[in-house]
Amino acid sequence: MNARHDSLCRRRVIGACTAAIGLMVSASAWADGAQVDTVYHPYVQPLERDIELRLVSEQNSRTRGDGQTWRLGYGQSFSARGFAELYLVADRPAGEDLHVRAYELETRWQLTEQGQYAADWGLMGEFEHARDRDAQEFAVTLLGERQWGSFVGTVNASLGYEWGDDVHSEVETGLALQGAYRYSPRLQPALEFHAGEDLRALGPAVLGTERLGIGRKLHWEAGLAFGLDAASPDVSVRGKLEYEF
Amino acid sequence: MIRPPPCRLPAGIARGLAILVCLLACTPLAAQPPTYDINIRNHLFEPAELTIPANTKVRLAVHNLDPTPEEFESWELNREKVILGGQTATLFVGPLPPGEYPFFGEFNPKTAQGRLVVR
Repeated sequence: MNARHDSLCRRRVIGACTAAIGLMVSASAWADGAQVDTVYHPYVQPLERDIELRLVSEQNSRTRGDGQTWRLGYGQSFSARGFAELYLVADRPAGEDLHVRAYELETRWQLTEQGQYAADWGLMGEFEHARDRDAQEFAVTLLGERQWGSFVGTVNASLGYEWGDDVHSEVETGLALQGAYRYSPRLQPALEFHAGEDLRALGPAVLGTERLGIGRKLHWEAGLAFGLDAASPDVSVRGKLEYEF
Repeated sequence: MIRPPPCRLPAGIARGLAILVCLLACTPLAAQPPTYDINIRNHLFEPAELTIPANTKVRLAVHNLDPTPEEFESWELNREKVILGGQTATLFVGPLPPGEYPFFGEFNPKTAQGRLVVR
C-alpha cells in the first residue's frame, strides 16, 4: 500500500507541478546522469532559422566512464515569440562507434520583452524519445537573463520526468548558471555552473558570433566544466556551432 | 483508522520550485517608460539620430514601413529585433549613461544606420 501511495503522491506532485508551471516543458540532458550542456537564452526572433551542432565530451575516471554526446539540430521560429528545434542525439561511448540514441523536440517561448523588466524570461520545453529502447523524457525549463552593464547573467532551471520500461522512472531537476562578459561580439568570456543528477560542475567558457553576410551568422561556444564532487565527471568539454540564416 | 502518510514534495522538486519562485519574485513590475518612435522607410531609420534622457528606461516603438523585414541590431545596446514588413516592434533600452549608441539594420546595413544619443 505504501508503494501505491508513494506512486499516487508522486503522480499528484508531478501533476501539480506541471499545472503550476503552466505550459513549461524541457530539460537539459538525457536523465540518469545529467550533462554539462549549452546554456539557453530567453530570446526568440521571427524568421529565425538555424542549424546547430553540439558536442559534450566527458572524462570520468570513477563512475560513468568517458564518452561523447553529439546533437545535430534544425530549428526555426514559428511565431514572433516561439521557436522549435528538432535534434538527432548520438552517443559515442569510449571505444565504441557513434550511434543515434534519441530524437528530441525542443520548443522555446520568449515570455517578456528584453529590457522590459528587471530580468528577461523565457520558457523551454523538451520531449526526448529514445530510438532503440523504451525511454522518454519530458521537461520544462525556465530561462532567465539579466544584464548589469557589460555583464550578463543567465539561469536555466529545469524540471523533468523520464519514464519507460528501460529507464528508471523519476523526476529530475537541473540548474545551469552562466555569467558572461560582453567584451566584443566575437569574444565573450564566461563562467558556468551546471547541476543535475550526479552533476555539480564549474568552469570557464567562451562565446562568440561571426557575421557571415546579410542575415547570416555563426555562433560558437566552447567550455570546460570541472566536477565538484565524486559523482560528477572529472571534466566535461562542451562545444557548439550554430549557423543562423 | 490508519491514515496514509502525507504527500511530500520530493527534495529535488522542492528545490526546483523554490528556484523558480525566487526567480519570478525577483522581477518587479515596471512603470510604463516614455515612448519614442522610429520609422524604417526605404531601408533608412527615421530619425537616424534620436536623443533620449540619461539613466532612464525608454520604450522604442520601431515601425517598419517597408514591405520587407528588417532587423534592428546594436551590440552597444545589446539588442537584436527582427521587425516584419509593415509591423511595429517594441524595444526597451536603458537606463543608460550619457553617450552615443549606434544601431543598424542587419538586412540593409549599408543604408540603415542610426544612433541613440543619451544626454
